[in-house]
Amino acid sequence: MLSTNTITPQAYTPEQVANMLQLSKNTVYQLISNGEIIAKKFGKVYRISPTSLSYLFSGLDDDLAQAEKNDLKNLPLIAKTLSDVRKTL
Amino acid sequence: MKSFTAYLDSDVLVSSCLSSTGAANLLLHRDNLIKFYTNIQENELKIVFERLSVPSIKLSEVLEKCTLVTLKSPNLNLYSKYTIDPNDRHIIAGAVASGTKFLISYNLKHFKIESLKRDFNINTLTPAQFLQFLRSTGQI
Repeated sequence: MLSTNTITPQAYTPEQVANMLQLSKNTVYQLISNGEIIAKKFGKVYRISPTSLSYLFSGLDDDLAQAEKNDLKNLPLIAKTLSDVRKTL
Repeated sequence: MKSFTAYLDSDVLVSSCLSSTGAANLLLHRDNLIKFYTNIQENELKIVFERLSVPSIKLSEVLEKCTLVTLKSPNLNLYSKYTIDPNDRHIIAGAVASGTKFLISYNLKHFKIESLKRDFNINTLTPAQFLQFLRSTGQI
C-alpha cells in the first residue's frame, strides 16, 4: 500500500511556499500579486503549482529549466561525437 | 549596461545549432554578451558538424556570433590538473586565455570546478545557470 507521505503534492499553499523559501507569508502573497510566483485562486485561497517553484528545485526559473531540458535531449549524441573527435586530434 | 564575457565549450556551440529552443541557443543570441571560442575548437567543430550531418553554414553562423581567441601551440600540460579528461585541456586553455570569469559547458563533470575557481577565478556553469545569473543581475 502506498504511503501518503511519499506522494508529491500537486499544489502548495502560500504558507508552505513561505516555509520552503524561508520568506514571510506576506512576501509570498506580494510575489503572487507581482506575478513572480504564478498561483491559481480558488475562491478565497491560492494554490501554487510545483512548476511555478522550479527555481526552488533546480536553481532555475521554469523557462530556463525547460530550455536546459531541450538541450539535454541532444547531449548524449553531442558528447559522444565530440569525445570521438577529440581523441583523433 | 555592463557587458559580460563567457567562454563557450564546443558542446554548447553544437547544442545551440541542434535545438532552437534550448538554453545554448538562447545564450548564443544574447547580444550584450561577448562569447569566446578558440581556433582549436573551430577545427574540432568542423569535424563534429560533418559527422552530425549539420551543414557547415550553420557552424559559420554560430561562430559569427562569437569572438575568436587564437591559441598558438599552448602548453596543455599546464591544464591537466583541471580536467579528468586530457582531451578537454584545450577548453581550459581557451577559457584562461580569453580572460573571462565564466566557462559555459554541459561537461561539468569533467572539469575540476573548485580548482578552476581557486586558480583562475573562473566559474563553470551550464548555459541555463549562466542565463539565470544574468537574469539575477538584471541583464536579461
